[in-house]
Amino acid sequence: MTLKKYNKYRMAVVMLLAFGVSLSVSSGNYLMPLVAMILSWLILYNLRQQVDGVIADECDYALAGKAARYTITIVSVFLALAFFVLMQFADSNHEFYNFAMITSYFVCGIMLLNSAIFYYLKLKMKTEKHSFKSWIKTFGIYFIIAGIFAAIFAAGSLRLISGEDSWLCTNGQWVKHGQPAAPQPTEICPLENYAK
Amino acid sequence: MQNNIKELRQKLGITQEELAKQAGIRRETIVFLEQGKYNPSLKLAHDVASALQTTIEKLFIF
Repeated sequence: MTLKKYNKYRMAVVMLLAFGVSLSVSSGNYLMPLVAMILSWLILYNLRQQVDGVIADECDYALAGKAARYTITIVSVFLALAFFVLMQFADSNHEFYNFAMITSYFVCGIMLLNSAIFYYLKLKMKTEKHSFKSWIKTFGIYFIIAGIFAAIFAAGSLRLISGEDSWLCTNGQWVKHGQPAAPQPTEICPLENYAK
Repeated sequence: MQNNIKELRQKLGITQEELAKQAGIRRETIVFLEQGKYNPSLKLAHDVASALQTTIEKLFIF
């Protein structure tokens, strides 16, 4: 199979996948995208095996690396700005606070993952492949990365899932929800219920 | 980096497609190399030089 033909098939598979995912989201079936993705991956893998020419070479990989660097930078800067903007509105609507927290965790996670992969690859390049020392170094870094991620996600999940610690305005009175760090608001609690 | 890829390729009478196939890369990469827009790795420089029956020193102008 020629590269041109492969690209045409790949485009068709991606379009079918997008169609399948949008259909499943609108119908509320979330198992279908998973099946569609696995199927697409298998089809593409099979097609790739049949291509005669080179699909990607070192020039493509170099460009892909550069593109990934730019993407990480743009996404991180954009989300960091979004965090500050959302935090400005956090007082008026608590949903903004949650979104801000999600964006900040996402930025931290993506930057941490990028650094971890970078140092892992560097370490892999430095150490010998079959020595026990390198094995410890290689797998040690995996455990450290897994530990950091587990801690971040545990903290983030607890913060988001357990519900916010705040003062709730209920029937004209401030009611403690959880263990809020801030003192009871001094403002008048209106009859409408909202979280402060 | 400047190079003599285009001249040597034309001297041998082979197309960019054929050179790419011999060097195990895409034709587009040959275009970038000929235009001096991409600096290849040592391995790729060696592969291209071998495909053009020359050496790296003669192919690339340092």
